[in-house]
Amino acid sequence: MHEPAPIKALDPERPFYLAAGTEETIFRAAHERGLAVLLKGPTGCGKTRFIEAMAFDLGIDLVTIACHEDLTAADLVGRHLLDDGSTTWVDGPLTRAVRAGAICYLDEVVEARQDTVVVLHPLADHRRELPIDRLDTTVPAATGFTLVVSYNPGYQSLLKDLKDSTRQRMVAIELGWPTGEIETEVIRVETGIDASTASQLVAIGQATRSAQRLGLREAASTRTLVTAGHLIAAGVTPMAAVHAAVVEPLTDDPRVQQGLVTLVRAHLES
Amino acid sequence: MSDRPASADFSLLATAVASRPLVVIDGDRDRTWTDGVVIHLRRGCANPYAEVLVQAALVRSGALDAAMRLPRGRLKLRRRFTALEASRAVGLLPPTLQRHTTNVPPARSSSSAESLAIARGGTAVQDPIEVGEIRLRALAATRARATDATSGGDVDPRAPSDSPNQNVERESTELPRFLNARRSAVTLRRRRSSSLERAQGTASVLGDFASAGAAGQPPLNAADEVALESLPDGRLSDGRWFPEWDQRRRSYRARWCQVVVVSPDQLSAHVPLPDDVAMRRALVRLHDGYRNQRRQPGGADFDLDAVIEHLVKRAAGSSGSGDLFVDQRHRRRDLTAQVCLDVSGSAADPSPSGATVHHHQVTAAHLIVSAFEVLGHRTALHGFRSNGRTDVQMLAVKSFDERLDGAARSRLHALAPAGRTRLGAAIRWGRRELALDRSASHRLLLVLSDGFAYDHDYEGLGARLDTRRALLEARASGTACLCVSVGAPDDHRELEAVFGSTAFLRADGADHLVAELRPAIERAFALAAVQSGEIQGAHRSA
Repeated sequence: MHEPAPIKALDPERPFYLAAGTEETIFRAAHERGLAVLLKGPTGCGKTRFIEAMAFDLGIDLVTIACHEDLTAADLVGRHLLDDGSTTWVDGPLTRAVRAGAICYLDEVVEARQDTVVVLHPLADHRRELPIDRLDTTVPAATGFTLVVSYNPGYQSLLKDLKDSTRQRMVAIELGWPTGEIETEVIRVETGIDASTASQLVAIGQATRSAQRLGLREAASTRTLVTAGHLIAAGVTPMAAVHAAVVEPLTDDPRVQQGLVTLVRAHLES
Repeated sequence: MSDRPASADFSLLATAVASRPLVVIDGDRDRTWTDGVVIHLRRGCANPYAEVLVQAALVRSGALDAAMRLPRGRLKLRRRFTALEASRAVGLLPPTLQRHTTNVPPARSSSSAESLAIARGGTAVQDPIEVGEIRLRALAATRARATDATSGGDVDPRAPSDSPNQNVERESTELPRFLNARRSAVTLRRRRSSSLERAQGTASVLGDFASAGAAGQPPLNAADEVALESLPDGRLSDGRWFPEWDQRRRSYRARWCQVVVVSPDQLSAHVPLPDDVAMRRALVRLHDGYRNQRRQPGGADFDLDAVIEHLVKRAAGSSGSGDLFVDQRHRRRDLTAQVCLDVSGSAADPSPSGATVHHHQVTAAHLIVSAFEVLGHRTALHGFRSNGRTDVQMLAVKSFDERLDGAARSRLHALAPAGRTRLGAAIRWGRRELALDRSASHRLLLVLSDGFAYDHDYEGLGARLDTRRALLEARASGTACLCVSVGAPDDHRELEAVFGSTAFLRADGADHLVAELRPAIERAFALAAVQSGEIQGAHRSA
């Protein structure tokens, strides 16, 4: 007998998230009205953390699916398995979320194939149901079910954008980089370093975002700055911490690295 | 002193502060200055942080735009204005950067107009060296060039110059015996200094990539304004001999063309990344498809045959197999691509799409190679030109094992059109390079050229037939060949005559190319598959 994998247990305390704009209000409204949500934003800007915080606030479970090219509809919906001469049906994560009234979060949905994403359409519009061909049945979404997809519309996106037929079924929330104040606070709370060092890290992040596409393929995300902060809190010098957490992950090109190191040095107080 | 980073390393910081592409180089004046594209550090500047930040801040704050309206010749007024604007601009920097500019006095004005008013007045204005200077004529010249270029098509690369050496390419003047790509030897005969030219040439190229999709700016070096000199050897390889097809005798001339790989010079400045998202999206589906693999341990569906067998076995008492599923597997093939970029003098011709053919070809090469690299296809990029059959040069921009890093991009943008086009030799060389690369699976020879073969003793029908022959040889060995002509005047018949039996693509510019490139590559592969089957089955001609 195949036991369904348990849905992730709720966090004991609210995952730390500072709202930058109206995203919490809009999300709550969408959830209440049974609407699907499309989260847009660069990698490392807080999309997943935001959803975790929302799940906590609303008191419902969260099912996360990392999307990739080889993800099939069966991976989402479920499949038959053969066991001792008889077949058993096992629900996929999407179906479990639909039945349980949980938030189903598909991360980086553009990475999945179009024929896989199409499976979401009946859930994302007024029907709010999931047809399962192989069982010849349709599962209505339980109260509380919210479909959330995320993607990075910028430089990373290789495949075509989401089809209009998918996009227009959803409420879109754009999460950009937080303001300097918010980002400084986030780094401070997550890592415990002082506000002054945190604001220097933020200044570095902002400088890389300003130079993005003009000389840098990718900017430093909030996540990389937090990582640098963790290293600093563990006793690494700021220069070395930023080098390890920001410069090296961003580029392998030695020239670009030199440019980044000079930029970082300008922003760090020695 | 030895700890001071190289000037170029400050470019990223300057770009970040100004939110515009800026390049930092060593200048030769007493004060640091900028024209909005390049920052020229003053001579002997030991600590560039302050001065780079001031110049970048000036660019960001709009001070340069305001300065353009200053009356010419009023040097003292300009100095005072510059100092006041520098203070204002630095005041707008984030606090953590301001600690570098403590020598700059605090801001006294909140706008350029206010700075001008104070400058006109009688109060004392401090003018520390960190403030740099504003050079109106240089500023105006850079802006004039930018306007010329974006007006599209109005630029004539054969603009009159001081040089007595006009029009090296098409007329009967003998070219120097050995063409070498080393940039340091290339003399630009104009009124201004060569370092400024190089920087501004860089700047015009940078301008392209900074404003993705903006109308191109002409490269600085038109073939007829360049005097090429004989230079020390920059070879990367010994000469390799290739045969050439002689139509009259209907046979090959053995050991006829000598091809040498040389190392081109690099720009000193930083070349920004191309905006290749559209190209990557267009190419990501190259050779893409799904294939069902049966009898897999996991998958979306049951493989019914396997299931039935399994159940029968179980019923007969033996254990079955667990591999009962059908799995859909990705079937994307990785290519190996050799890109040959025609950098002969004819590329300096003006393009009907604006700027020059060379500009369009370089842009195309940059986009294609960048996209291929990101998508995981092994790619090499070489420029090619020739001066007679014993002097065919392949200019190594990027080999298969190298990445398209800053140095490679610099080499690409430093290529200058000169010389002639011995297409047959270049194709034979390219095909051999692909054949030698052991990890190559699906081989693609991509020639970026207007397809017009022309060299000493190599023109007209003879040249065309030799080129066709070289392509046939490549296809017979299973190498896909594609000629891409970007921005060249529409001479469809020429391209078709030479490349018709393989694949060719004529595009006006980058957008057109993005839309058409993938089907053209697929066609090239389809033809290679067909041809290699046919020819290997048929006779082998001498």
